[in-house]
Order: sequence, then C-alpha cells, then structure tokens
Amino acid sequence: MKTFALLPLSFALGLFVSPEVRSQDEPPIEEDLTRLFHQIREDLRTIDRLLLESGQEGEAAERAANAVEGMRRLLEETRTKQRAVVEGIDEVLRKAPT
Amino acid sequence: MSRIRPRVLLLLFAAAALAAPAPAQSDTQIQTLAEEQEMLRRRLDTLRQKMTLLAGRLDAEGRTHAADLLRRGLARLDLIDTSGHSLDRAMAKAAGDLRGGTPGSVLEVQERIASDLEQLLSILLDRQDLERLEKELEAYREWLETLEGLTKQEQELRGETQELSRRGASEAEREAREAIEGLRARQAELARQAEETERSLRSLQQAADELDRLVASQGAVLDSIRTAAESGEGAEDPVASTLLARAKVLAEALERARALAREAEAMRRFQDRAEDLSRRGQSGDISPEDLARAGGELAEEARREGEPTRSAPLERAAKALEALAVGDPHAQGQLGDEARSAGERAKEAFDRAGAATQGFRSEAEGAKPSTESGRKASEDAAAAARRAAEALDGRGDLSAAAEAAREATRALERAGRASAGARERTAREEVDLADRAAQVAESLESLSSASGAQEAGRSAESAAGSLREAAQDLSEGDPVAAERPASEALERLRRAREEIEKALEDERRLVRPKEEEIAAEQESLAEEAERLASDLDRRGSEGGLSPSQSSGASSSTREAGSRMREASGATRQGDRPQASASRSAARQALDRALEALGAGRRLQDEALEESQELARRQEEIRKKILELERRIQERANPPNTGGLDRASEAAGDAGEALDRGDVGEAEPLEEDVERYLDQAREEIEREQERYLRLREEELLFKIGDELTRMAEIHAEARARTVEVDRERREAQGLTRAMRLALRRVSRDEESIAVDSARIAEAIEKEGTTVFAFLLRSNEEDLRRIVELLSSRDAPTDERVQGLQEDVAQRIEQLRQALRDEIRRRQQGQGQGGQNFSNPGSRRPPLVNDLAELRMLKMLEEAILARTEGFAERLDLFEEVDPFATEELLRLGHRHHRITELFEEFMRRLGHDPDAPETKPEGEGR
Repeated sequence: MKTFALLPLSFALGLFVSPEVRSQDEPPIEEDLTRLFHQIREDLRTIDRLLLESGQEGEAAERAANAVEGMRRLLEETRTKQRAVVEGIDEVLRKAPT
Repeated sequence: MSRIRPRVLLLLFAAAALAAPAPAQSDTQIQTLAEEQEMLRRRLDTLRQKMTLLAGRLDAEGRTHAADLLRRGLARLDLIDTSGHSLDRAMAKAAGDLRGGTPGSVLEVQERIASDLEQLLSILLDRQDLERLEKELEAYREWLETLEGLTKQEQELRGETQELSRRGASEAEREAREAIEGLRARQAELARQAEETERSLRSLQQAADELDRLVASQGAVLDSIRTAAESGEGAEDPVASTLLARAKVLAEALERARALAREAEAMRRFQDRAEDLSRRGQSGDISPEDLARAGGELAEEARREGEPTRSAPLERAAKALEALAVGDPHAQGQLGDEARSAGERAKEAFDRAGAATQGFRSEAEGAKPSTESGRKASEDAAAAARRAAEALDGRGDLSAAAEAAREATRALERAGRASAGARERTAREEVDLADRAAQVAESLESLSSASGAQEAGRSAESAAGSLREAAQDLSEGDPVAAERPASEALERLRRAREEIEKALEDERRLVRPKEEEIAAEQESLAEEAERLASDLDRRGSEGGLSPSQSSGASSSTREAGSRMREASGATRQGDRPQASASRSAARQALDRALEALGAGRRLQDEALEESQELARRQEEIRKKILELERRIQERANPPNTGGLDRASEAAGDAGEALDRGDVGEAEPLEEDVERYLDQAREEIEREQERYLRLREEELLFKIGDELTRMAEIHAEARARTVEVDRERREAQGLTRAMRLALRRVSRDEESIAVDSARIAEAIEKEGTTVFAFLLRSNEEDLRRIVELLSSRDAPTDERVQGLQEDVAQRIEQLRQALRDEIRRRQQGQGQGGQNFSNPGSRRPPLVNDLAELRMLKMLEEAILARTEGFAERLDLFEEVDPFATEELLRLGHRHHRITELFEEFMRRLGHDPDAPETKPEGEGR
C-alpha cells in the first residue's frame, strides 16, 4: 500500500475553487467539505448498524411473523440513510475542486 | 513521452473490429464480407502511406521517438509471419478465400489479422512490456540508492576535511589570521564612521552642484524668453494669421475654378461625340442598335467622369446621352444647354479666382507682420501670389495658380508652427527646471541639522513656483508675461546657491575635527598594518607560516597599510572621493591576505597523513561514481549522466588537493562534488518519473485487457446459466448434460474469481482501494456462484443470475472507470489526478481521487437497490426466507467495507474520521 501524505486542502481549494461560486453567507468550502465528509461517514456507520440489525431481525422474522414489521421499519430507515449518503457524495463531487 | 495521436489509430481500431472472425454467412453476405476485406486492405495501404509520410515529418520536427514508433509499426506491417504472409497479403488471402467459396480458412486468417493489428496498435501506443518496465524501475531505484550513499560519503568527507583544516592550521597561522581579521574589522568600522561624517556634506554638495546647473540652464532660458518678448517671436502674429486664412480661401477658389474648367471641358467633349454619333445614325452609317449601344456607352463614360466630384451637370449629360441613344429628338439640345452652362460657370469661377489672386497678392505684399518669422512667411506668400497671378494672366493655368496658392499657405503655416513650437519647447524646459528645483528643495529639507540648508531649500522651492508660472505664460503664447517669473526664478535659484554655500562652509567647519580624528586613526591603522606585515614575514622565516602563506599575506597586508596612508592623507586634504577609494582598496588587500593564509596552508606530518587518507577515500568515491556512470550507460536508453561526469571530475581534483595536503583548495571542490551528485540525482529521478508513468499506463492497459477477457468469459457463463435454467424448467429437472454444462460455468466463474483476486491484490499496492474493492466483491460473488452451482440443488434461478448480473455490472463499471482514466491521461491531464491532493504531497494514485469517490457512490447505490429489493419482497410476501436473511447479512458486511473505504478515503485527504468537524490535518490555516 502506498503511503499517502496528508492533504493541505486549503491549498487545493485556494488553487482551484473560484470565490465567485460562493456567496458570502456560505461557509468556506473547506469547512463545508469537512462537514459533509463527517456527515457521510456518520450515515455510513448508521447503515452498517441498521443492515446488521435487519439481518438479525430477518432471522427472527423467519420464526415469527410479527418480526416482519420490525424488519420493514429497519429497512426503511436504512434506505433513508443510504439516499442521504448518495446525496452527500453528490454534493462533495459538486463542490470538490476539479 | 511521445506517442502517436489517437486520430491516427482510429483506422486501426475500425480495422481490428472488422477483422473479427465471422460466423457462417449466406453467399451474399460472404461476398459483402469479401468486399469489406478488400476495402480494409486498401485502407491499410493508405495507412502505410500516411505513416511513412508522418514519420518523415516527425523526424523533421525533431520528434524522433514518435517517428521511431511509426517506423517500428511499418516494419510490423511488412513482417512475414510463419505462414509466409505479411498483414497485407493475409488480408488479400482472406478476401480471395471468401470470394473463392472457401471461407473455412478465413476464420484462422482473420484471427491472425486481428492479432497483427493488435500488435501494431501496441507499438503505436508505445505500449511496453510491464516486466521490462519493472526491471528498468528496479535499476533506477538501485542507482538512486547508490547515489544517495555516495552523496552521504562525500558529505562526511567534506566534514572531515573542514575539521582537518581547522586542526591543521598552525598556531602561527591562527594568530596571524586573528590579527588580520582584527585589522580588517577596525578598518571597516573606520570606513563606516567616515561615510557617516561625510553624508550631510555630500548631500549638500550634490544640491549645490545641481543648483549650479539649474542657474546656468535658467539663465539660458531667460535669455531666449527675453529675445522672444522683444522680437515678438514666440507670440502669435495676428497679421500672419490673417494672411494664412486668406491664402486658404484663395487656394480653395483656385481649386474650384480648376474643377469647373475640367467639367466644362468634359461637357464639350461629350457634346462633340454625341453630335458625331447622331450624325452617323442619321446618315445610316451605323444601325439604330449600334447607335443605342454607343450612346449607352457614352452615357456610362460621362457618369464615370462625374463620379469623383459627384458632378450634377455630368449626371444630367449622361441622362441626355441615354435619351439620345433611344432616339429622343430633344436630347441633343439638352446636351448643348448643359455644355454651355458648364462653360459659363467655369468662366465665372476663373474670373473670381483671378480677382482673388490679385487681391491676395496686394495684401501679402503690403503686410507688416510683428515677428521675424511672420515677415519671412509674408514675403514667401507674396512671391507665390505673384506666380499664381502670372500663371492665370499668361496661360490661364489654373493648376499652376492653385499650386502657388498652396505654397503660400504652407509658408504661412510653417511660420505659425515654428512660433508655437518654440513657445512649447521653452515652456517644457521651464517645467523640467521647476521639477528639478523642487527636488533640490526636498533633499535640503531632509538635512535639518545643516544650518542654512533650510533657507536654501525654501528659495529653491519658490524658484520652482516661479518657473511653473513662466511655463504657464509661455504655453499661453505670452513670452512678455513669462519674462518676469522667469527672471524671479533665476534670482531665487542664485539665492539658494549662495545660502547653500554658507551651509557647506558651516558643515565643513563641523566635520573638520571629526575628519582629523579619522585621518589620525587611519594613520595609526596603517602603522599597525605595516608592523603586522613585518610580523608575517618573521613568522614565515621562523617556519610558523609556509613561504606562500607568509609572502602572500605579508605583501597584501603591506599594501593595505599603504592604502590606509593614502586614505589618511586624502582625508586631511579634504579629497573625500580619493579617501573613500583608498579605504576600500585597503579592505580588499586585507581580504587577499586572509585568502593567502588559507590557500597556502601546508599540513604537517600527522595532519598531512590524515589529508592523504582523505584523498584515498575521495578516490574511492570517484571510482564508485565512474562505476555508476558505466552501469547507467550500459542501459538501452540511459538518462543524462552529465552530473556524474562533472562530479567525478571534481572528485579527482579534490583528491589531488587532499593528497598535497591542500585542504583549503579541496573544500570547495568537495562542495562541487556534492552539487553535481545532486544534479545527477535530479536527472535520474526525472527519467524514473517517466518510467513510473509508463508503467502505470501499461498497468491500466493490462487491467483493461484482463477485464475485457473476464467480461467475455462471464457473459458466456451467464448465457449458459440462463439456457440451463430454461431447459431444466422445461424438463422439470436437471439432466446429466445440464449438470455438465453448469460444471463448465462453475469452472469459468471460478477462474474469473481467481483473476479478480490477483488483480485486486496488484492494484491495492497502487493505492487504488475502491477499485480493488469492486474486484474483491466480484471475487466474493463469483465464489458464492460457484458454491451454489456446485451444491446438490445447483440453483440456476434469480439467486445465481442476480449475483451474475452484479458481477457483470461491476466489471463494466471498472472498465468504464479505466477508459476514463486512460482518456484523461492521454488528454494530458497528468497521472493519477490531483483533484483533492497537494501535487507535491504524494504520488497520485493509479486512478484519481474523484473517480474513486464516484465509485464509492455507485457502490452505495448498488446496495441501496438491493435494500429496496428486500423491502419490496417483504411487502409482497410478508415473510422472510433464509436466503434473503443470509443475503442481508452479507450485504451488511459488504457495506461495512464501504464504510471502511470511505474512512480510508477521508484519511488520505487529511481528515481524521474519529475527530468530527476538524479541519484537514496538516493545514496551516
């Protein structure tokens, strides 16, 4: 595995992001990206947990019909988070320096 | 790296596609294929010609690498293979076989053609063998390691040389050095004091010199202003101006008379020709058609003639001629009327011009301009008027008269311009003098300590004001008004100069005692230098210093003493520039004395042995450098080794110096060795970088090839799975033949799983983790497929087919990402990409960061689709089967890997996933 040096993001942003693309009310893009990265990561971990719980609930649901409802709820919650992750990555791709 | 442009290769891609083996076809289709084969052959021929031409052109442009590639490609085109056919002949044979109805052999021939074209493509794309590239890179790594070691050895050697030099200096040398350095420091301090003392005096003197120049200049300007005021020159001359306006009117009148005379002449000419034409028409000499045509042509000619002056009479004449051409009986009369009118107008204009010429002549001859230039211009104008009158009276020559009138105009204009130009020049001069006076005032203002300087500054400032006032008057054409402020300015400048002289005298009185002190101190230093020189001689004769140290240092020190005496004398005489130059020469002589001590150092006994030991080590380094250079030069395409050449040469010189015990000379040479080794390292690293890029590109191509092969095998396996699934449903069971078919599917899928794992491992090493993850996911799914197909039930339903579809999708995603990356690199967007990364911080990954992030998004979307699938099935069946549960758990594990990949991605970009909302690490903001 290669060793990756740390990213001085401000350099990259300073170099590639035009100040015109941001309004004055918006936070600087570097902060915005940091927030997005952490939000996505948080959602991903939640999805991990929900999928695991769904699997366990599935095992229970094989034995008891009333467990189906619990599994449905978990899957719904999982999908919501998954959509949020996809949107979050889209936002990063939009805002990231190109 | 120089490659062949993609456009050149398009033809080959097309050819390769068309050369693919064809399935059994009907006769018509076979004929079509034969024709296409022929067409391909022709295109191949065209390609050969273009490649030959392009190679020549690239050679001429100095792009030898690209030209070589083309020539290698051409050689490949002509290569005869084991079947005895070149590519061209193979294509001809394939077409012949198709036409001759023996398509059986065509498959084989076309496969060979496709293979040949692929090889040609590889050559033109400059694809190199990965193993060879790895070997090259290994060699580069080894060279760089060797270089690093040599640089370190040289650094150590230099450190030891410095230490030896320090220890090797004799007690006498150390004492002598200390004494010379002390003398040099005191001389530098004395020079500083002298400069400080003289600063105010020098500034005052500069201001005085500038004021002298200003007084002289303003004196000259004032003289010219006075002359202009007295003679009236420089002021605007009203008589000459009036005469100029009249001359212009006369010139216009003459020009108009000349134009009307020309017009009248043309009218007469057209009238004559029209009469002639009319007569010939009436006599029947020409037909009515010819008459009409000739009349039309004449009309057109009249229009052309009248066009430059937009002559209305000529336009009317043209219309009359047109009427004549169509037989209008009144046309001739109209033409005659027009010609008469034109003649009358011309006569009238001529008379008026004649009268105007006489009038202007009298006026010019009687004019009494106030300026000399005006008088001269009036005379010239009167002469021109006389010439004009003669031209009109004698010959009625309007052209000559008009030219004479223009001459009169020019003479009067020149006089006006000369007058205005002189005024403007003098005004500009005054402005320039005003700026310089203001600068003097400013410089004096800063010398607040100097008495009298302030008053001089104020006088200079008021002089600047007067000068500007004079400039303003001159600009307005009033030299008489300018005389007063110009005179005041001169007076004020003179006063400033007198005041500054007083200030200079005061300042000289102030600095005199200080200068005397400096001169005395300088003399004392000179005596000291002379004593030191004698001491150096003595140390030389006693053996404390080597002869060259002693003679070099003592003669330079003695020279320093002599210069110091000169400086002292010049200071006392008030010759400050000479004093300054002598002080500077003394310092330089002391520097030379120190150099002589270092350069002439002779190591004794033990120190000399140590130095010779260092020389032996230096020689070893030199040999190693030469050995490295030899190894590098043995390679097929060696990098530039100029740095090594220079390093070995410097090492040789350093070794010789060390062998003589001349450590002072050896030290800078050792520095050179280090510098040249650094240059060699940079040269090798540059070339290594090129090989790294080549290797990465080749890796991308290879992975692309592998993925294409996987996609083909997997597509076949999927198709067979679907087929068996259909057959087993029809047969309501699994036959032995079906099991055998599934076993083959299983084998194929397993081989793809093994390949996926191998490639994943390889690209993980390149830091392309998301890419590798997709391959790992495929490996996992493929192994699951194998497991399912190998089970007793051997399911072929949507469970297996769904997994197969996922695998196919990922292969396609990977191929697409590869294509994008290769295209990006070919478009010159660099390797790896640096969208998120500091270009200098790390070598970019094989596939760029943004592409990896997009892939992460695709992975999340794929899992979202699967989750939605589960939810839909749950809604539909209201129950959960064990397969679904198992899949959900597997999905959870896979998703966890996505989370890990994302965290890794964050770290790579400098974000710590466990420290929420912090700025990226390493940021200086």
